[in-house]
Amino acid sequence: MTAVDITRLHALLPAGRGAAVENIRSGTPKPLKHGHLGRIYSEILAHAAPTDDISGLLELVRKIAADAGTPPEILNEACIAVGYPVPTNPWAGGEDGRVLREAEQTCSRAEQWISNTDTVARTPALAFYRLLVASILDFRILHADFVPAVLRSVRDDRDFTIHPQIKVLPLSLSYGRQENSERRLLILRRRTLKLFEEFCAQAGCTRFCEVMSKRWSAASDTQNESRGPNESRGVDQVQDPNQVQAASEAPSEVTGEVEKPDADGDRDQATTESKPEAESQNSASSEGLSAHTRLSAKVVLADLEREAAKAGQAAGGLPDLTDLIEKARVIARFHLPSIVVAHRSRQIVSHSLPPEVLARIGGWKLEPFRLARSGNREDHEYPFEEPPEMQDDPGWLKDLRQALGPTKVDNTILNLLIGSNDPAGRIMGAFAIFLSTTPIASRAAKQKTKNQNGYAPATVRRYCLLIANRLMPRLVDPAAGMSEDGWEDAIEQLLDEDAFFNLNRYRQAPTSKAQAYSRPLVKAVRHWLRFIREAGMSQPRTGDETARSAELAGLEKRLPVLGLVAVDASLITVDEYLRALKRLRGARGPIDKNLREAGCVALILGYRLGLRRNEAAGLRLPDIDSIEYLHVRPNRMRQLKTSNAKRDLPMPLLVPKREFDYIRERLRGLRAKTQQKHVRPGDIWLFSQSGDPQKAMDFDAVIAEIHEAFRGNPERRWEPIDSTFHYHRLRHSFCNLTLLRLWPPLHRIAEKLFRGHHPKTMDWIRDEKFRETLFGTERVTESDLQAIALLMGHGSAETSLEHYTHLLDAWEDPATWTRAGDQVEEQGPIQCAEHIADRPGLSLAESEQDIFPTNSPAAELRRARLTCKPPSRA
Amino acid sequence: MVGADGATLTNREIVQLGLDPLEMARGADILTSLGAGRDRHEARESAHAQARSFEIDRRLFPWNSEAVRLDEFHGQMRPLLEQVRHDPSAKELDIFAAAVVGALIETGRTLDDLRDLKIETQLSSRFAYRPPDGGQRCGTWLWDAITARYEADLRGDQKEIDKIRQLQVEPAEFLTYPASEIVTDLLAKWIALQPARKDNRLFPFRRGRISAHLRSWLEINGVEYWRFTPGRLRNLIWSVLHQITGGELASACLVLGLAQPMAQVELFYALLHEEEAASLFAGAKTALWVNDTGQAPAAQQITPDPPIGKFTGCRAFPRITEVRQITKQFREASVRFFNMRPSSFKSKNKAHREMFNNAVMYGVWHQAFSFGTRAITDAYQRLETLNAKGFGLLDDKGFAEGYRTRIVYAGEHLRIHMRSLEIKLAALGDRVSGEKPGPVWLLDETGLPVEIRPATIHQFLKDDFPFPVNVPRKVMRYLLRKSGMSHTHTEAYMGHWWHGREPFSPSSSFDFGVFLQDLGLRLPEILKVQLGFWPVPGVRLDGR
Repeated sequence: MTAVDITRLHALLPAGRGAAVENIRSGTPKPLKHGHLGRIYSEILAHAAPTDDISGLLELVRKIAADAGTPPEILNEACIAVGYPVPTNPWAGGEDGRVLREAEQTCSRAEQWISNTDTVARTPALAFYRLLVASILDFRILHADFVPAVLRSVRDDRDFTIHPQIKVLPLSLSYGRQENSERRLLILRRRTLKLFEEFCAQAGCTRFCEVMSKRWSAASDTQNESRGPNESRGVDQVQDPNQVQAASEAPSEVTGEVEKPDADGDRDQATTESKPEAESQNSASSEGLSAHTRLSAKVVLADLEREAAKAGQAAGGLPDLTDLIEKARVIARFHLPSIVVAHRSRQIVSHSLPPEVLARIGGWKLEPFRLARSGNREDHEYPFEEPPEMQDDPGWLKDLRQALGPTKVDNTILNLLIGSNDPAGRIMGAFAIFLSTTPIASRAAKQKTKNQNGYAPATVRRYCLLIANRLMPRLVDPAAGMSEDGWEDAIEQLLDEDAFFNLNRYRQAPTSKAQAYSRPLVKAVRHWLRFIREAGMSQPRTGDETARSAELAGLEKRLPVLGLVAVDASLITVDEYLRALKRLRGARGPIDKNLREAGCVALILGYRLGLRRNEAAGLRLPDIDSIEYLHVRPNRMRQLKTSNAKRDLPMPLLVPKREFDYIRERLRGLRAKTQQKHVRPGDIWLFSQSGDPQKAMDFDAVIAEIHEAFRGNPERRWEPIDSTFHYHRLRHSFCNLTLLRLWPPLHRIAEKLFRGHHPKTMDWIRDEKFRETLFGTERVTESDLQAIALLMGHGSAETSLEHYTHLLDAWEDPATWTRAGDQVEEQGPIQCAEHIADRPGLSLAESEQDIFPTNSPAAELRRARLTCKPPSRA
Repeated sequence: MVGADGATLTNREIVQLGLDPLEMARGADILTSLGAGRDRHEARESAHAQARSFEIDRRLFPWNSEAVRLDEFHGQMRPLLEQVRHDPSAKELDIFAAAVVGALIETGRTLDDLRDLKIETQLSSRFAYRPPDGGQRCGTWLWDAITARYEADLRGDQKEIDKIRQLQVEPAEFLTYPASEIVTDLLAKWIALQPARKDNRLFPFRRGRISAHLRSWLEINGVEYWRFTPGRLRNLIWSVLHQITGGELASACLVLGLAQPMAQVELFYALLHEEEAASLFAGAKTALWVNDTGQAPAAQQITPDPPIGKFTGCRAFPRITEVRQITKQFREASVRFFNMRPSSFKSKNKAHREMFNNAVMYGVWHQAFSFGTRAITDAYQRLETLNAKGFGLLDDKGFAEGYRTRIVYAGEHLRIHMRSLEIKLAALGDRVSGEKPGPVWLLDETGLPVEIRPATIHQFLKDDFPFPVNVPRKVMRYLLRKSGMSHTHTEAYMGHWWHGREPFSPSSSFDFGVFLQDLGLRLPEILKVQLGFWPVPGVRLDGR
C-alpha cells in the first residue's frame, strides 16, 4: 500500500457520501457491515478515471476492510452486492457434438411429425399441439410458459390480424411470483398462422381452451392449498402430477365423459415422476424468473400431451414438448441474436405493448385485458430481516422504534413525534397512526368480519420501519409535494434494489424466497402511497388535486400486480408527438410565451433525449454546452436518481435540426438575460421564470400543459392523442424508437402494427446512418443494448430491457422474411376493413416543417407582412 | 501480474515484455475483476466486469463527451493553430503552445512523453522528430514499433529461433511517418527560437510548466481549456484511428506504437504492414488537418499487403508464402499417401512414415486454420463432433467452465478432407502396430502411432516450420481481417471476449446467424485460394 494509492482512494471517496465511505476514510475504520463494501465499490467505479488501477483500488479497500476486522462473509458478499453474474456459455459442454446433433435430430423429427399428421387435426388438442410444435420450430415459443398463455389468449379471442398473412396474439405470462404479469405478443405467420386457424376452426376449440385453463388453474390451486402457510413455493419442489391427473379425471367438459388415465397417461406420469430430482432442479433453475408460482410447466406439457394422444395418435409419435423447447433453443442461437433468444426463452423480462396501446397507435379494435393478480398471502408467512440502511439512527427513528412495540403501539410517543419539529418524524408518526387506526376494508371484506381496526402492532411496526429505513432516506424533503413520476422513480429504485439484493442473496438456492422477501416491502409501499394520497402529503402546488390523487391511486394500483412497480409499456409515435408539439406551439397553446416555450422544450427533451421529469426540470444553462452535449448531472437543487443517471447526450445525433434550433433559440434568450442581469450562467435555469432567470418556473405547470396536449381538452378543441399520457412515457418512447432505429428487422412488424398511420415515425426510424453514427465504427456490434442503456442513464442493459423495451417480440429473421412466399407481405399495410376503427384523431401527422415553419411560404408571407417586403418568388 | 523483480507490471510493460498469451489472458482477467490473487471463478463472479465494459463503451462511442470531437477541433483549435502558423510576429508563448498542441495531436502521446521528444537528423532515438531537409516539405516522426522479444514466446533452441527469423515477416523496429505541413511549420518556428541543446530535446521543460503555458495560451485566445486539455488533444488521433480502422483498437495501437490495455490480447494477434500503418496515419492526418467537415472519417478499405516490407505487431508471424509453401509440401505428400494402397504402407519405412505424417498434418492444419484452434491437447476434432452443416463447438480454453467455448465452422471441403483422412487411416488397420489414440494420429520415429498434441506437432514441424503451434490462429485472424471481415466477427471467431461483453450474453445483440453466414462466405475462399487447402483430387469419400 503506498501513500499515492490512499490519496487517490480518498480523492475517489469524498466526504459526505455516507457512513460506509466515512468509515473507510477514517484512520481507524470499524468492521464493515452488510452492503457497505458494495457501496464503496460503486463510488469508486463511478468516479474512477481511465488511468486508475481500479482493481488495485478495490483490492486496497478490501484490504482496509479486512484489516479492520470485517468478517469474511461480508467481504465476499460485497462482491455480489455490486457484481453481475457472468453469463453461462450456452455452448459449454457440447464439444463432442452431441448437443448439436441431438437438437437437430429432435427438431427434424418434429418437422416430420407436423408434415405427417393430418392436414386437419382431428381434435382441438391435437391441433393445438401441432400449433405449439410449429411455433417452437419457428423459434417463436421457446419456453413452456407460453403454452397456458396461448390457450388463455385463444379462449378470450384476443388475436388480431395485422396483415392477411400475419396475426398477432397478445399473451400474458407470469413474472416472478405473479401470475399473468408480463405481456407478450406472439406473431403468427405462414405455417403457424395456418395451424392457428386450423385450431380455431375446430368444433370444440373454445371449450377445449376453457377446460384446459380451468383444469390447470384448479390443479394449481390444489397445489397451493396443500402447502403449509410457511412453505415457500420454490421451483425446486417437484410438483405432483397427480393433482393434474386428478383434475383430468373429473367428468370431461370436452367429451362429457369421465376420462380415465390411459396407458399413455400413465406413461407420462411415470416419466415425469421418474426424472431424477437433480435434473428437475436444474431445469427449474434454468427457467429463471418465471417458474415460481404457477403450475409446473412440465406438468402442463405432460397433461397436454396426454390430451393430444387421445386423438388416436400413437403416443410415442408425439414430440416431447419439453425436450423440443430445449433443443429448439440450441438451434435458435444459430438464427437469432442472443438477446432475442434470451427474450423468447424468458431469460430476460421485457414487456410488450399492451392491447390498449396497440389500439391507439394502430387503430385496432382490441379489448384490453387485465393482468391477473396472484393469490394474497399473509405477511407473516415470510420472515423478514431489515437490512440496516440508516447507520446512525436519527432521534425520530429511535422514538418511532420505541413507540412501536411488537405487541403494542404507544400513541403518546407517536403524538409527541407528530408534534415535533422534524418533518420526517412528523410524517412517520402520522403514518404509524394511520396504519394502526385506519380500517383495512379489503381485509375485512375478504374475511367477512367486522374488523374495523387497523393493522396489528407487529405489522404496523414492520411497515413503518421498512418505510423509515428504506424509503425515507431517498426523499430529499419528505414533506414536499412529489409528482407521480417522482414517486414512481423512488419506489421503482427501492424495489429493484431490494429484489436485486435478495436475488443475489439467494442465488445459490433460487427459490421464491428472494421475491417473498420483497413482498412486505411492496405492501408497505402500497400503504404508504395510500397514506400520502389520503393524508394530502403530496399536495399539488398547482393544478387539479383530484387529478393528482388519481395519479397516485394509479401508481398504487400498479404496485401489487407485479410485485414491483408495473411497467407502463407504452409508445408515443413520432407523429403523435409532433401533433402534441404543434398544439403547444399553436394558437390554442399556452398564452404565456415562456410557458409555451418551456412546454415545447420539455417535450422535446423528454421525447428525443429520454430525460426523466426530474432531470429535465433541474437543467441549468451550462448543462447544454457549446459543443451541444446535454449534460445530465446533479446540481445543488436536484440530485439524480442514481449515479448511472449522470450522462452526456449528443444532441445533434438525437434531436432533429429544427427542434434543436428551437432549443438553441431559448438558450440564446436566456444567455442574453444572463448578460443583462450580470448573473452567472450556472445560476440560470433552463426552465426559469420569465422575469427572473435565477428562479425556476413551476415545472408542474409545464408538465400539465404537455399532459393536456396529449390527453386532450374539449375547451381547446384538442382531441385526445393518448388519454392516459404521462411524461414518463416519452422516455419509454425514446428507448423503443432508438431500438427501432438500430434494428431494421423490427421494422416490418412495427410498420404493420402502425398500419401506415405513422409515416413520420417510419421515416424517423429508417435512418440508415444512425447506427454508423452512434457506434462510429462498423455495422456489427454486440453492444446495441449497452448503447441504449448509456443513453438512458442505466447501470446495465438489463434495466433498459426490463423496464423500457417493448418491441422485442417484433424481431423477424430477415432471411426467412425475404423468402419468395413472403413477398406479398411487402406490398404495404393491411387494408382489413373489419379492423379499421373510426379514429377521428388519427390522421396523417403534420410535418415537422409545419411546426417550426422557418422556411414555409406561410411563414415567409407572415415575415413579409411584418417587414412590409414582398415575399420571394420561391 | 508480477515481473522478475517482484514489482507489479503495468499493462504496457506486460505487452512490451511480450509475455505469453496465456499469461496475458490471465492479466486480462485480473484487469476485469477484483481478482488479483484469487482464482478465476471468483474473479469472474466479482464486482465490476459489466461496469468496466460499460466504461469501455462510454469511451469508445464517438459521442463520448469526454473526447474532443473533430468538428469542435476544426471549429476552435485549428484556426488558432493556423493563425500562429501564418503570423510572422507570433510570440514565443504562442509558438511554443501551438507546437506542443500540434505534436500532441499527431503523436497521440502524453505531455510526459513529449518531454522526451528529440530533434534528430539520424532518427536514432525511440521517439524523435526530423525536420525537413533538402527538397522535403514535411518533417518526419519516428517512434518504436510494438515489438515483443522472441525469447518470451519461443521455447525452442537457437536453431529454431533462427529458422523462425528466416521464415517470418520482417518486423519493423520503428515506424516513420511524414508530419503534416502545419505541424512541420509550427515545429520549425519553435526550433528556430530554441538554442541548440546537448540532449536534443524539443520541449525540455517540466510537465507542469508546459501545462500551465498551454492553459494560459488557450485562455488568452478564448478557447475553453477544459475541452482542450492535453489528454483530450492526444486522444483525438486515437478516436480518429479507431473509426478509420473500423473499431479495431489494436490497429490504432500499432500505428501509434502505443499499447492500450484494452487491446492487450488482440495485440498478440494483430499485424500491420508498415505501408498500411502509414496509410492509416495519413488518413488520420487528413481527417485532422485537411477535411474540415467535422464528419467522422470513413473506414478505410483494407488492401492486400505488398510482398516486401516490414510489419508491426504480432511476433513470430510467418510469411504467407512460407505457409503456402509448407502447405504445398503437405499436400503433395497427401496426394501420394492417398494414392497408395493401404496394403503397401509400411510404418517402419522412413519415407512412408514421413509421407504419412505430412498427409496427416495436411488434414490437421486444414482444420486448425479453419477453426483457429489454440494449442490444445486434442488438436484434431473428429468429424463426428460436427453437424451436417459443418458447425461444431470447440472448447480450447477455460475448460473448467466452458466459458470460452465457441462455434466453429468446417466448410464442405474440410469435411470431405476429414472424412477421407479418417477412413484412410482406419483402412490402414494392422499395417500400423500399437494402440491408435484416435481416428487420426501421427507416427513417431519407431513407427508407432502418437496422439496429435502440441508437443508432437512441434516435434514434427520443428525442422521446417518451428513456429508456435497456435500459428494458424494468427494467420487466420490476419487473413480474415484482410478479407474485410468486421472486427466484432473476427474476435468472435478467435474466441476473444471481455467479461460483460460476451456475444452469448442475454443482453448481447450479437447475431451468430449473421456471423456464421459471414464466416461461411470467407473461410473456404481463404483456405483454398490463399493457403492451398482442399481435398486431394480423385479421393473418394470412402478414402480408397
